[in-house]
Amino acid sequence: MRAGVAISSIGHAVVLGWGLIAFAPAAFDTPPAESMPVDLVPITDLTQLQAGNKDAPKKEQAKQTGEKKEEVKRAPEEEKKPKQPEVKQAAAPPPEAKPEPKPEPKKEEPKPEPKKEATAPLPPKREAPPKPKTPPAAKTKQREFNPDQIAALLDRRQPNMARASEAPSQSGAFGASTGNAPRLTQSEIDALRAQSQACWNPPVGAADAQDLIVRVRVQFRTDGTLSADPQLVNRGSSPYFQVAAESAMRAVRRCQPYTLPAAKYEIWRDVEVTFDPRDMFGG
Amino acid sequence: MNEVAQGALELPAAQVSLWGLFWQAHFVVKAVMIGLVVASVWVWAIVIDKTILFARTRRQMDRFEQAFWSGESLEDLYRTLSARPNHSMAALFVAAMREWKRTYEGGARSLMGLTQRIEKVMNVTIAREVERLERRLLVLATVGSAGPFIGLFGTVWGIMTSFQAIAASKSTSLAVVAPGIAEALFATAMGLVAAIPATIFYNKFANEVNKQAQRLESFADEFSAILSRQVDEKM
Repeated sequence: MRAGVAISSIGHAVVLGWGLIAFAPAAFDTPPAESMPVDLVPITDLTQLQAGNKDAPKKEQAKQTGEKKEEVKRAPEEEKKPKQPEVKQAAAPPPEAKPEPKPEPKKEEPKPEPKKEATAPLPPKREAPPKPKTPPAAKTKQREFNPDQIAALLDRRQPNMARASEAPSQSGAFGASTGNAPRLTQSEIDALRAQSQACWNPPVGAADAQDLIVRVRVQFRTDGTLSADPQLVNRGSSPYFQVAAESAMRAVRRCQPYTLPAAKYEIWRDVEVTFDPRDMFGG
Repeated sequence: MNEVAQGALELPAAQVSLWGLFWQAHFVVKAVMIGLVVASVWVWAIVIDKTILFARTRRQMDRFEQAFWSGESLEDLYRTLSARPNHSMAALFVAAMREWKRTYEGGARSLMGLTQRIEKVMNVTIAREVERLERRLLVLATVGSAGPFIGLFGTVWGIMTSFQAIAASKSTSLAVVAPGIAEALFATAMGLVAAIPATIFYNKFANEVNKQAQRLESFADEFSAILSRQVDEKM
């Protein structure tokens, strides 16, 4: 038995020693998992809704692309040209310098006629083409070659492009009462609506609730009270509309001290509130 | 309990070497591991011992049967073996012969009970020899059946350590979980390492013991037949 114990002990020692060597210390190398970048996007960017107002003063449309702007601009430029002194009239010949293809068809049209006339013993052929041309403004524009003008045209292009590439959100939408960010977020508009609708008793039982949507223009002071009487914005065909509009305006007046973010006073100074009976009754 | 979590926490760069696995374990798991190593050592000691014993016993039985059936005088055989019966069959033969001679040399008046006495003595000797052969085999059986459970206990404890490490560090990263899992699996591995050979060799040795006991019994039957024939001739 002693021999067995000895042999067994030696065998285990050998196996364990081999294990110690074979499974050499290898630390758990756990590289930190790659973090996934998450952008927290404020809801304001998504819910910037502009209340359209048809009565608002019209503002410049800046949402056009550069190309369109260029053509629009070019027309008045050409009209201006005749006023300039036509000193360099004789320098006409280089046709490749002419920027627009538009005048060329005009040129070809009249040309056959002067050639027929050229058989007549009238002045040198150079003088001939200008005569038959009916629009004199077009004629002068054709003739004159003013490198400075072309440079001006080309230069004009750059600001237009730059203008077109500006962020469209900076410019006001058509008819918007104000074209400036920041705006009331959806939740703040909802808050305003909720506050005003809390005091609203719409005409219960009136038919055609969708015709009773009342939009009221409200102007505030900084402390949340009304600076002017609310104005009705829309008109309704329903006989009950007047009742609903009266009740809506009464509600706006009744709930007066509104709690709205003071930092955005410029935005809620003049807003429209929509009273929709369907919101009230879940219809 | 608290030191379990701390033990796992203060070793963020855990090692998977055998020594590291053992050293980082909770002391309960350490005890389990040490116990399983000791059990394994003991199992293999028994296996080696029994292998040697059975091989030698078989060889000596072969040699004895050869001598017994060679026609050699039983008196001579008894004289050579009686001093030191070194294996089961010799012990059986010597016990039976001693009873026979004692009856004869004592000058018994009747041989009536002699056959029964010889059979009894041989039965007792067989039982003693079989007991000697299968001694410590029970250890193999125990380790074979309980080893996996003991290892499993260590595993459960290691998993608990892992969970406590998770709870303490509030993180489920590999560095936090791995040490506990590794030591847990290591405990189970050691339990299996101890239990598998124990079970295999237990089955083998139990079969061997059965065969040798069978052989002893058949020899006892033959020898008692011879002796009883002698008794009948003398009467």
